Amino acid sequence: MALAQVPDGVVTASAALLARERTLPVDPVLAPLFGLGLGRGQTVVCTGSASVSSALALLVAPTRHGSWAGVVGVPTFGVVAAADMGVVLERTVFVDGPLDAHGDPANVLGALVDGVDLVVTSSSFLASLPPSLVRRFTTRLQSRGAVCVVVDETRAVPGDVRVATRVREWSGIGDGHGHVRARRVTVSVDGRRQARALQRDVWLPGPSGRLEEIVSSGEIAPARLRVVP
Amino acid sequence: MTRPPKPPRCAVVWCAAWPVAAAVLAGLAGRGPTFDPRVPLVVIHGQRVRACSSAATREGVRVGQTKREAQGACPHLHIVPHDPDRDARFFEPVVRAVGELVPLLDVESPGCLLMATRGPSRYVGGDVALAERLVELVTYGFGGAHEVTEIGVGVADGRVAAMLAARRSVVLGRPVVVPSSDTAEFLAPHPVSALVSTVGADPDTVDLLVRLGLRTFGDLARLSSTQLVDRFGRWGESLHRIVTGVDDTPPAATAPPDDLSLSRSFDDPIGQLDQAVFAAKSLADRIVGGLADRGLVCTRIVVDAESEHGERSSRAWFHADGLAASAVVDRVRWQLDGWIDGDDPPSAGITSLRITPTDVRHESAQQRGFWGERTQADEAAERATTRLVGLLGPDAVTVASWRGGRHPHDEFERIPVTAIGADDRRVVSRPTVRPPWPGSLPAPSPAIVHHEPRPIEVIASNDRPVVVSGRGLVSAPPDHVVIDRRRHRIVAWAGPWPFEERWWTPQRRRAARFQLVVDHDGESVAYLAWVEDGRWWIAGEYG
Repeated sequence: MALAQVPDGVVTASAALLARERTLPVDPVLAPLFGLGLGRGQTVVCTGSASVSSALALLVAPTRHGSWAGVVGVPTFGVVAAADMGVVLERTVFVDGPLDAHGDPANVLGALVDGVDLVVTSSSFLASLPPSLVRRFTTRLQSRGAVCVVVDETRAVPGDVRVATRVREWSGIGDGHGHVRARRVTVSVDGRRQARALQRDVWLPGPSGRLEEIVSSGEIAPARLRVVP
Repeated sequence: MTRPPKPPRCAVVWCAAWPVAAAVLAGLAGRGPTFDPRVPLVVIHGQRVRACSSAATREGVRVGQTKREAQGACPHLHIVPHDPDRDARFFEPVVRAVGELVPLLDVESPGCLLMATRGPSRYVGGDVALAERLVELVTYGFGGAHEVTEIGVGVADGRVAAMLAARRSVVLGRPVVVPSSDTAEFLAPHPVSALVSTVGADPDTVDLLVRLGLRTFGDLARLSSTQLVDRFGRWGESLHRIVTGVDDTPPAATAPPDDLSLSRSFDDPIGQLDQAVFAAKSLADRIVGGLADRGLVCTRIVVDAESEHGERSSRAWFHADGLAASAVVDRVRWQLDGWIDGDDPPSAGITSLRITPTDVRHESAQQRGFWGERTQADEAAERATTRLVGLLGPDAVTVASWRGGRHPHDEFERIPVTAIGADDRRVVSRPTVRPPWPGSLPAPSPAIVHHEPRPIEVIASNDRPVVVSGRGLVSAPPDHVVIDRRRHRIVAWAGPWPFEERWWTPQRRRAARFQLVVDHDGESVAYLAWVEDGRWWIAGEYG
């Protein structure tokens, strides 16, 4: 076989390029869990007690690189937390209100998928739609190359990639003193194309409100200077 | 560094302010309100001027102004509704006239035609002869109504130079042919603002270039490609290619491959546009879906339709951003509408329809650098929001804008996208350094914010509710909470942080905030809770 002649470890340039084009970027802190990035056309399901924060963390890198995000069916979306996390709100649109009352939800989702790279929604919203519509939405997502991030409070939505979060500790708050500063979370990512789940402990969020790496001592990393984009 | 290949020679036919001209033509044809082309006319889309007539230009109206600015410059301005279908329909005769000479041409957008000159120039005897012939054909295509627009024809190396030549041609009133050797010199004096209309660059970025003292293509061309890449990333690299005339996205002049095309025949010839469009939809879905399965997106399609009597309509449509299924259907509708309603309609119903994707590329949201990545994504989002507003009403689609505040629910306000640009409303970004707001809690902020606070009970270890005195003292340390009738142990807590609101009005309220870390089946969840008049609420969750 011709392929066998290629030495191990050699990735052809076109293959690498192709993979990058077909993904959305991921924050460097989570990147080791995602391989090349968020695969376009995939549904990413965020579960666990830090599900919303992990969903927000996934929006940061793409919106900074010029992608738009559309939020539908998440009326409790914490805008301040999103801004703290680094999500570019100028490229985030919110679709509110009961979709049935005015328009066909199929048209609404279709229009949204056509215009944004990321659709953020919740499992309760998807559960309120007819299953055939959800399937059509998924197909459209794939043909358009968008990514759907589902905040799954019911742990019921199947997805291509599952991001499970588990809270390890809250830092900064005591028994009647201090205030919430940071949260140590184990994030594990499991996907259909992945042999095994990868996991990592991170500050989600750290004291700055952003996703932060845990330095070896386990203490909160001191504030670093950041490059302002 | 290898020398990039020379861009192919292109001809561009450009009709100035086409949307306005199309509206006037529609009026003349009795298919819409009548407009007098001599009065100031503008087409407004998304609260901004998309096109303006020459009379409006003389009054100081410019493309890209807000509606209010335009009305300020010219109070007696007539506003023409935006209608892309109309733009395409009335351009069709021109496309057909030029198509007699150049079968393989790209409709870049209604009002702008692009073609590779290699074949046709040889046929008519040179670029100058081709340009003159194109002017004749376009004038003929308008059939006596050619005074509604000014026609420009430009021939040059590469798409951008040809487009600029066509614009220059409108000003000079004669075709402009730029010899291959003069491309760089021709481009140099053009202002960088021309990047907005020719390559869809972001106006803010162009503004930045001007502020950096880079006013013309020549100024940019004198910088090295590396310098531009350092400042603007990938966009800088394409920018350098454009301003130096090394524009590498040619209009396709190759024969289309067969295996990707799909066609459909109708046993009963179709006489109604809707039926044809419906058939086109299923073809488009299959083509775009089939390409997407291979990770491809088409940027150019050829649509062929044939009538029962053998008359044919064939047209190429190009969109650098990639054509979604809905965009393919739009193009089929524009083409058939122009054919059926045109001067030379088919004498019988349509019996076959074929869609052939002729140019495909790998799908990527990082659109070709050539077009300026951000702008294309922004435009797609703008189109989507416009459609969503159409479906859901003006207030349903919003963007968050910073206004400051002490609570997670009031630091940002939601502005309907329809209001942006009108009444000088705009989206305010939060300052990079979050300004300290009196009474606000430090980051992090709850990721889940309840607009309707959820009632809870907070109980001390002696089974009595926890109360907060007027001086902000807690009666006893909170021990557990009852949420939805379920008891959860409190692991950690902090507060109270009192606040008063509207103390100057009778509806004065005093409340205090707490953070409660609660054990939920082995996992700890943190809440932002409020207590007011002895009642507890959850305002948010650090989810």
